[in-house]
Amino acid sequence: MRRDGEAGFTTIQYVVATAFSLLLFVLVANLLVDLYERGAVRDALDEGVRAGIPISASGDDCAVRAHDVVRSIAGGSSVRVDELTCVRDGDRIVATARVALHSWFPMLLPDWRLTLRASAHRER
Amino acid sequence: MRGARADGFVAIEWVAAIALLLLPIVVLVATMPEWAERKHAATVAAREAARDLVENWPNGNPAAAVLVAQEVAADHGVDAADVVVRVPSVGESRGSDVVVDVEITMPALGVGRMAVGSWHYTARASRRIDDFRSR
Repeated sequence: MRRDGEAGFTTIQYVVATAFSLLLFVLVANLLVDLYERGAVRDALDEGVRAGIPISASGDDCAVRAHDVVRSIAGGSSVRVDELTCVRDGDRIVATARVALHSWFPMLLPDWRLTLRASAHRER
Repeated sequence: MRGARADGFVAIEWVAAIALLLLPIVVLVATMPEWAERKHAATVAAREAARDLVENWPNGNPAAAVLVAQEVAADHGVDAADVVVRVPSVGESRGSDVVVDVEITMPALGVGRMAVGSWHYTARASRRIDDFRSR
């Protein structure tokens, strides 16, 4: 009887390799979704500051527009907007958002927390 | 002597699978979204720079438009060193166009801050000076 035989090893290897491959596949998908959501929030901030450009617009117009865009293109539970503010800074309007992008494997990877910003010069 | 032993094959297969399948996929997945993000950043930067020039016409300052474009690019996570802004036209007269080109450096292959090779994408924005705009 050989004690160092490899019988059955290929099966174990197959199962382990498949499990790791699927895990990696899900992590890659998570990364892609996170990148989409980051782009969506950036786009929302751009839309927000554009809504705040007219001389008659207020910071609230910017924030409302940005929230609307986030809801419309990145709604659901995978992105959480902790804070979204629009403030006037001289002749500019600046939108800032603190967001958390949920991890699909919280035990392996924490949520991705980001602070994003957009700004534009206001009409005079 | 056996000519078809499989000793060590599992280890070799594992290394080859990672090198030939896994790494290329990871690098591609990390690189291609950045192309889309940077393309979008260039488009928005060119648009905002052109809007700044139109807003300040006829005293629009190309240097200020460059700063606007760089600031927008920075908001999108792109370093100023990766952005080249050109202003082919500041809008010489009413009815003419303000034209801004923003050339952005794209990593050919990149994961995070590591990048190998590069190519360039140019976004162009043009805005018309209103025909009845007062000076």
